[in-house]
Amino acid sequence: MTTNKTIQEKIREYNDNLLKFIKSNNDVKYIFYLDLGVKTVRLICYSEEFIPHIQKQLAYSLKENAEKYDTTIILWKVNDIKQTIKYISSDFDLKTNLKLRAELIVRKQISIYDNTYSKTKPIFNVNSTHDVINSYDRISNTYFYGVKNLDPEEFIKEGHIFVQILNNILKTPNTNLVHGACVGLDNKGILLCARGQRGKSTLAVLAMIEGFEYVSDDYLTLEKEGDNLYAHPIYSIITLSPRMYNELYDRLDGTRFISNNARKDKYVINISNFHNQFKKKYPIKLCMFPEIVSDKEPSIKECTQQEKGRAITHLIHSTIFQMNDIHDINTIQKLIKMVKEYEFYKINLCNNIFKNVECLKEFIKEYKNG
Amino acid sequence: MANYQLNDSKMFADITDGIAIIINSETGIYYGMNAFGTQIYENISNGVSTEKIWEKIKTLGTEEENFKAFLDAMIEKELIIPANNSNAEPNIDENIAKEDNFILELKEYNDAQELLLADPIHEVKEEEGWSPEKSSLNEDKEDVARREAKMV
Repeated sequence: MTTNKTIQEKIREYNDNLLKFIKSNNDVKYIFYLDLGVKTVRLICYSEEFIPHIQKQLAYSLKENAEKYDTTIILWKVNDIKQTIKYISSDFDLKTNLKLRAELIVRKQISIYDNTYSKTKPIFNVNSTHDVINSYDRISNTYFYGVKNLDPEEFIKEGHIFVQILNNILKTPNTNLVHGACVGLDNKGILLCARGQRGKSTLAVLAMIEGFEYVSDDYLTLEKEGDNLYAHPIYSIITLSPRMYNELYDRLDGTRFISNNARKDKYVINISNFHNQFKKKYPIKLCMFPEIVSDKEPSIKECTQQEKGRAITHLIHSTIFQMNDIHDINTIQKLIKMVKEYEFYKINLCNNIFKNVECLKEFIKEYKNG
Repeated sequence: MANYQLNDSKMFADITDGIAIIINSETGIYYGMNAFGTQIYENISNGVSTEKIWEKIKTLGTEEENFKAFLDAMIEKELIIPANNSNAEPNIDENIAKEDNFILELKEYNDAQELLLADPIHEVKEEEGWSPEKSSLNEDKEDVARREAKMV
């Protein structure tokens, strides 16, 4: 490779060669489309092993056909990560490029940045801990996502399937992927803003079980349209701790257990049987900040300015940390703008999760009626 | 008889496609060898004494000065440290030695110290959402297994 190539030219060459490599070793097994409400994504699977993961995790968004699509994700199974990158470019020949090999050994990854794309997120990344190759081709608007170990218990350790890629795709001036939960009644959506361990997921899941309209317990897309804010579902899975899973066990009938994420600290469950309660473009009417307290009864009250600030901080903090967007000031400003004019309420959650949902139901039924 | 082993308290070694790299985790300096040098390092780390190695490679045409310099450099740079005696026998591929003209090479690189000494970039975990919930780990395993089996 000549040294006078720009980083953009190099990345293009890497991606061209990567695609050749994938095609030379695999056939297309399936093409899916993801209808994410604000974007449609084409998924080209070069490995059958990806298909059950996609079908289980993204059942609601998954479509067989689409009239058009905005972007493409190419999925393939990595057999040998070193062999793959060696094929992509002589730059990655670890026999001769000792500096790169040292980097891969010590840092467990090779990250290449295109500052015109992002100064903080690599446009090309090889992770040897999880044996994952990620790349993005800007010209064809195509993402590459290769994984070596697609065994369910190993794969689920990566969290929700290609959530980082979807985060990039869903990032527009008016939309963003958000780590939060959303349920509601009668088109009155409640955006639950909180970091983990605050009862957000449990409240959202039990509300869904109790008949609430549902968008997500974990990741969703927010779309600002004029003065209105809408939430769109992405995934058809929920995650519950074993304790909560046991507590809700009798009410989860019909769901499909997917994995215990190998460490048995979270159970991943497919909730396709609740799809009739899923809502697209669901209007957000208020935001809520859950907090687990020792009170015997749950309660809801309007947030003080300080509490509202904490709630917004939680929403933004958990989103940008999980999405590696901690240096992305534009995303932070956008998320603040999306929610800052909304009324924020604090829900004090008691130990009885059923009482909590009942409290939420009573509140939202009465909320701004008429 | 002198035996050595990798100084693994501070060194990390990797051999890919017959080429060794040894990284000093305290300094971020790394060392590369040619293929012939890698063979010698492999023999050393497999417990072959330096005397036996020399007896083998002197017949190939390697100069004693080159072998001593290669060995001394590995000792001086603390890549290897003394080890217990062993009866392991040398295993040298003459073709590889020939390709390198029977010359042993060890090179030192300091162009990535900052990168290699910086804290590795840890992936952002879902610190809360996925973090182990200790109380939940004490669940009755049999009961959990039974329920999992039923849900699959």
